Amino acid sequence: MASESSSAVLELNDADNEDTEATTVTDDTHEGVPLMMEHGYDIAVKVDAPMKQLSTLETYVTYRVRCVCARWPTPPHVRRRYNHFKLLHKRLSAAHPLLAAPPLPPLHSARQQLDRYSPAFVAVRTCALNAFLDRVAKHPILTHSEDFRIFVTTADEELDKVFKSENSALNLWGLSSALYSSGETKAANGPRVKDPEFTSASDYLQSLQHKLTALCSLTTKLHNSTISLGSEFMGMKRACDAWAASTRGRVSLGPGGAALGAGAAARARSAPRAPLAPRAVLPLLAHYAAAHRDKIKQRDAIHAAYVSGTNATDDVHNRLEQASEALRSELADWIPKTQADIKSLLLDLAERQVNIHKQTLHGWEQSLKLATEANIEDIFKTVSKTAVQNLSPSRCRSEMSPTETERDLDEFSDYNDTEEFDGHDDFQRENIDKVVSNVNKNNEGVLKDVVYNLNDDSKSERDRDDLKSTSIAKETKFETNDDNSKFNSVASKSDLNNDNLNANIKDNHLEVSRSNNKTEEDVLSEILEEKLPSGSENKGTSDKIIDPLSDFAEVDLS
Amino acid sequence: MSEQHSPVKASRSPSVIETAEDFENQDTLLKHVDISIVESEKRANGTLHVRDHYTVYLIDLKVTDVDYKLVQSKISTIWRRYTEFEQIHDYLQVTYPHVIIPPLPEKRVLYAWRKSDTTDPEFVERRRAGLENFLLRVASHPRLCFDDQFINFLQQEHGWRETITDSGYILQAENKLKSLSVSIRLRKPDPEIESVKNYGKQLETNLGNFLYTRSKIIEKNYSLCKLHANYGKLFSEWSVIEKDMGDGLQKAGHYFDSIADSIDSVAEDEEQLADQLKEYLFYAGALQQLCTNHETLQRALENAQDTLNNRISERSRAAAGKSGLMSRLFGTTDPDIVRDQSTRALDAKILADKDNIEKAKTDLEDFTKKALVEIEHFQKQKDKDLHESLVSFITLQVKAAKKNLQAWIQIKECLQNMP
Repeated sequence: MASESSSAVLELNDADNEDTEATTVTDDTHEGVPLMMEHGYDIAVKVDAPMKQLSTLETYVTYRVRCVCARWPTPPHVRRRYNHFKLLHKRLSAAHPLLAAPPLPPLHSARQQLDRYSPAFVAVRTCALNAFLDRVAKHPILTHSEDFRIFVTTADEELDKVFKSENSALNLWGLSSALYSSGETKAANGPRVKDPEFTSASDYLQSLQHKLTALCSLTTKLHNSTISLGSEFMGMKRACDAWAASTRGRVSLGPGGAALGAGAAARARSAPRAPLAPRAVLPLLAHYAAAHRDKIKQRDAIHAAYVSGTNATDDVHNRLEQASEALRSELADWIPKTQADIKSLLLDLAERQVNIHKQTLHGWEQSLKLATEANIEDIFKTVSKTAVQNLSPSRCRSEMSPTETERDLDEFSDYNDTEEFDGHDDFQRENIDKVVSNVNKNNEGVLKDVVYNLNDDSKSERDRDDLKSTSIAKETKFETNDDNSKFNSVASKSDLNNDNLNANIKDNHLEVSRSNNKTEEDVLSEILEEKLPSGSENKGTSDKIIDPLSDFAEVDLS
Repeated sequence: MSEQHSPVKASRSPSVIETAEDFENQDTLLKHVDISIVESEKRANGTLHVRDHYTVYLIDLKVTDVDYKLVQSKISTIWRRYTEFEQIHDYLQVTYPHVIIPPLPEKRVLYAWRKSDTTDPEFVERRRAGLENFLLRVASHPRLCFDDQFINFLQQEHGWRETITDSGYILQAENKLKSLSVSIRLRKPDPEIESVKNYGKQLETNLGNFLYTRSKIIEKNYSLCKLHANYGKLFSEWSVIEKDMGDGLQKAGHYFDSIADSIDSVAEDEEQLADQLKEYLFYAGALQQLCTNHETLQRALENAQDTLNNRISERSRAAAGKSGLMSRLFGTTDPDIVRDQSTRALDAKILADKDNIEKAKTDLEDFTKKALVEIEHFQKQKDKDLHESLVSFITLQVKAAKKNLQAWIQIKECLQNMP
């Protein structure tokens, strides 16, 4: 293997690698994330920074291997290529026939040969190699293996001398079976012996293998679906933007708001890179489980031989004992580690999803804010569904005594004409009251149905039934002329005033709506107030003017 | 505008409606009667072919105003099918060209994101709601609600189909279609109507795009959420074989299942919102129809004016004695008698033409006045309704995002609590 005569650096460093210096030739000198030993271990390894190397004979990718160990002095880093890893694996398997060496990522399939240097492929492989070496390092027995030490400590130039690749058929066979974890080792000729202890372990490993593979494919599907959903959201954003652009004033708030929300939803889902770790690690773990199963089968073979055979019983018995013991300790070590790996992978996935939904939620909340902003005028004219929906549980109910709702509208209009609207608390209070009295007059019989319920399921069930029985038509219909005429008489008075109202008063109408809520018999949905664990209800009694979406904003997601 | 009591006579022209406010103060059917569509039923034409099955909807009328004489009985119910609704809708379109006729719910499934056809129970339910909405809109429109045929539609048990076809609306509709198929090019298009027409087109496009993208989103989102059910299954199966992780996995599995289930209600609610937007999509079409009607009248006026101009020039030629065949061929002048005769005849025709023009003008003015009021009212209503629908849509998204977030937080917690 030629040493690197020239190195061309591909954009092989994905952002997923911790050290993201990416494309400088001086990769090797960059330290990257400092390597720290984990608790309980005296060694830590890391494989990263893939680099394409050109030599006279061939082009290949090398990976930087760093190791920090208490047992031997180690060079800051070395570069290894896949074949080296392969060799190491072979050597380890040969040296410890009773143990299953951690599996390597698979070789290229024929198709992938074309894609050998694609960043995604290389990144996945780097991750897998890292997992491999990490397992070796943390393995109680393998970590002390000489081969491993050589692998990690030898300088690049001298590696060939020590790490000669042997191509004997036997080794290849052992290699392939370890790598691909294919079928059974030949069954022993003797009767099958079922040892309950190891049978159950084998069964467990088999199901685990299946679960891991299924999990891997599900995760990939999930990721792909999420990406495509994100692009659809982009489409909606464009449509809404075009719509909002073609209208003016208040009318554009609706589609404008929708555009905002859709955009946020799209961005949340537009993660450019597929989550690496699951794709790399889950198949490996599955292979690893299979490798263990093979070892169990081997042991069973010995057992069968022992039971059936008659020659050299002692020797066979010893071997049997050794194998059993090795397996037991191996599994005892392996299972917790694997579980920890799985747990961290799943947590990663959950974390990512949580972030996606958090971002999406935030986006839609912003859009709701935008869309309902400065829509006070409609409140005056009709009590639209919007008003109903904007109800937060009326914290301000305590602030609003019934008598305040009695104030005259005319007073309100006079007041408006003379005041500046910049959100004095008192002024807004008065506004609230006027609006409340306004709306209260017009409320009878208008709000028949609950439109949307954002509370927990029990409520939503009931409300959905209401919804069905009364039909959407009622909600959308041009409400009876009676009501409208009332509204309009009110509206005409307050029309002038409405023009003056600006977004400063947005909070008002929500206050209104809140008190509306409580004056109504119907259970109006507390859309913006979900019973979240953070108990956000307690906040804000001191706030007079409360941001409509503060309930959301304070969701504590710890 | 004070409210007027309903007369006994069925049809009544509404009082002059000058402004949009007047509009809203008019008496309508809805102020006296409650209309609702309570249920639907499948009927068959005797054969058992699937194609011959159709759905009927039960219209329920309740008179709330004790003194109202217009509606015959206190409470009446009647079954109607979609094609009958179509008939009354077309009739109204032809009879009231200056009104924006409320649209019917879709005939075929538009913007479908999962396989469904018009026999789907969910679709039938949505259509029921849409038809009820249609009736309410018509009944609350002061110009439309007291129409004979419409009242008959609501009440006449037997023979309504004959009644309505007798009114000859089909012929009128066909005539209209013929005239509309010729694209109308006006010399001096009314700018206001033009802008309204363009607005209608724009609204149609915007709504169409929105509905399309929404359907794509719900499609993908639906399959994505159903994917979570696989996770749920995987996790529950997995929890069986694990000792320590079992609990956490199982709990997480439940939450995955809940995610998969939650999308169903979201999809349903969103579908209803989409229906509201579809209504306005069709409304935009009706708005454009109104503009086209206006253009037709304007074209008629222009034609009348053209005719007059032609006649005048003809008369002047006749007066000059140049109208006879001989004079045209050989340039000779007509004899006096001919000249006088033709001139007088043409004069009479000119008078008739002028009358026509006057009539056409008044027609147009009348139409324009009414139409503008109609449009103004429509715009207000539309702004309110669309805004509401969009806000509901956004709210629904907030709700769904919250649910998802909750579930995933719980999942994360379960996973964290695993040993």
